[in-house]
Amino acid sequence: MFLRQAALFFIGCSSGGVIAAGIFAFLAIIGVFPRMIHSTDSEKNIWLYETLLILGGIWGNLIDLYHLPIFPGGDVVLAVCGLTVGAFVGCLVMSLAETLKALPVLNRRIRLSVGLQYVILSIAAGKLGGSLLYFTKGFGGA
Amino acid sequence: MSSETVYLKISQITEVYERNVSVKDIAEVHCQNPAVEAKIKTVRVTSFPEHVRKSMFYVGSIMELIKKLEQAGQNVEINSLGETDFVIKYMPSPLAGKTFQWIKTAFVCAVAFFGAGFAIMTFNNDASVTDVFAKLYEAMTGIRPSGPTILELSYSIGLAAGILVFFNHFASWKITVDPTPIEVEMRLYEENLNKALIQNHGRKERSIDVS
Repeated sequence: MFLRQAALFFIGCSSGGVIAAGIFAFLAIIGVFPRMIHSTDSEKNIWLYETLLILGGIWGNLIDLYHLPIFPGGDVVLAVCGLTVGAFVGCLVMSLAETLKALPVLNRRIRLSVGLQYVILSIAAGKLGGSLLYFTKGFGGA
Repeated sequence: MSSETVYLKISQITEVYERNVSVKDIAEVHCQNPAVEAKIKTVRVTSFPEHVRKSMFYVGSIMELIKKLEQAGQNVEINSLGETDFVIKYMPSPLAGKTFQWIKTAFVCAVAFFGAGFAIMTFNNDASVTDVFAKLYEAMTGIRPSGPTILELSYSIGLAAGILVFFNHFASWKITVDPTPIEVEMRLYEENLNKALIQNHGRKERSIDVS
């Protein structure tokens, strides 16, 4: 029994390590944080941000697996959480290669020459509309 | 009169706070003749317009600079060892107020913290980690688990260890001397920005893409 538990412990540790490397390598290379740090002129705080990334990963994993109320606080904390997660996902979807690489290709194909900023704005508006529709009409199957 | 060789190493990007930019601000200069070196260092590269409150970019090339150095009247031979194109970023007012800086930092911190938590939660749910662990536990021990098992516990430990190894530090305690992943990405991003600035400046093909 002890051996089995030890084997399970080993499996768990290894899978945790591999998943962490995968997820955080993705977060680091996707370019959300370099852009955000650049536009806020706060290069000197990179270590602080990375520490927060580490803590956030551990926290998110614990409340997901153990359903622990590790982070106390009411609606205010939830509002901050929702707002920042929204900002994060917004940056994430625009950073994904499909968007970043697809737009220039599309622009070349149809020879779009003016108003790129309106195309970007339309994408943002479309995402907002889609998100509202998803949550209000129960697309999530809830 | 023989010409003096001047070695010039220009950096790709320089941030300046003064309106007038001279060679010594953007490049390392070396010449065997100290008088010539001093003269070269003071040659004006560019001047940003007065009464500008916003930051501005100036994109220059080594060719323009060589012309300016020749006009300065020295019989010199320029040996450029640095970049051939360079960017100067002019920031008239150093940075916005301290409070605003901290608000922005707090915002990025919150995005980092909740974003990382959200990313790991979506992954765990997408991949049904809990279900997989329950099945694995049953296969190994023959007991159907009711609630979190040792697998979840060790997964959490392994995850924390993996993140720490990946980021190479926690707060100010560092594991190895390498730069951290975000620092590396930051430098890559800045390099790409500079390249794009230089290329935008140099291109004349107006109809090929949107600008």
